[in-house]
Amino acid sequence: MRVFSDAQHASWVDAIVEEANHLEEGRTRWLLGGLLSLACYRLSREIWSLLVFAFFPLAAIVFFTLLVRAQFVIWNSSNLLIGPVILTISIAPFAWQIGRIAQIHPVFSGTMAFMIFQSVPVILWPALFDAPGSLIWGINVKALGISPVFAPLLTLTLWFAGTLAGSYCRWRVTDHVS
Amino acid sequence: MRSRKPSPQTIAVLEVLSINSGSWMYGLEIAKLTKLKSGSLYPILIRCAERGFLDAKWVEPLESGRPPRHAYKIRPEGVRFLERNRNSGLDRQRIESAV
Repeated sequence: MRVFSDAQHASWVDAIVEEANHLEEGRTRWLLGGLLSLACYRLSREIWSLLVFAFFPLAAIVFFTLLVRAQFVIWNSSNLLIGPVILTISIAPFAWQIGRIAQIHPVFSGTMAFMIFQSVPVILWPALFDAPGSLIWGINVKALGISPVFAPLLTLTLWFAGTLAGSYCRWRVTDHVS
Repeated sequence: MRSRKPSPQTIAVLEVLSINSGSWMYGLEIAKLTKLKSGSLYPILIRCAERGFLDAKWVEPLESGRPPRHAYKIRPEGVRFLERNRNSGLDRQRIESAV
């Protein structure tokens, strides 16, 4: 039942349920109406956090794709390490922003961002580019001498590092203000 | 903070609570008098409580063995807000006759 509401409004879930216990008929309708309205109320309050989670990983994918396409033009270094290194750390600013904005634990926000970042190419790449769905980091880490098996782990670590850094910055600012 | 005109449903809830301003009311009682469904009533109650228009507390029922119920009472801020935003006496007359 508590999933319908955040911790701040948990007592309202109990209020709806307990009030339903005093109904002789229409109990299910009362419960469904009340709990769904609380879920909508929660969604309306948290919509910006959800949009942050959708926006920044998607922006990271676009940025990453543009970098891949531009790397031969910009630094013309397909055989050097600098290209893969830049690509590898290209998600860092996006991870930092999520950590700075999202009002939840950075490990949780990092995990969510990582899942969106990894799953979107797997789902969309085959449909958009007629290319096999693959984990977006596989090619890069191979160039860095790391087995592609560790690509998702490295990506997750980078998301964690970024969100932790962003969260720490927000905490420092809030701490100084208050 | 952005100040929006309250909905007729919000006014109706505050009217019911102001008519019974001396006593605590349960959600079911308010729903019955305002003819609001739970899906409309509780978001209004939450918003009103957050804006300081009403108090909410758990009340032990008179009958033993029954679970406590959430009860609501209008605050002076709620009465002032209602007086500023009351559109007509029609709703109040209907609610007063129902009470």
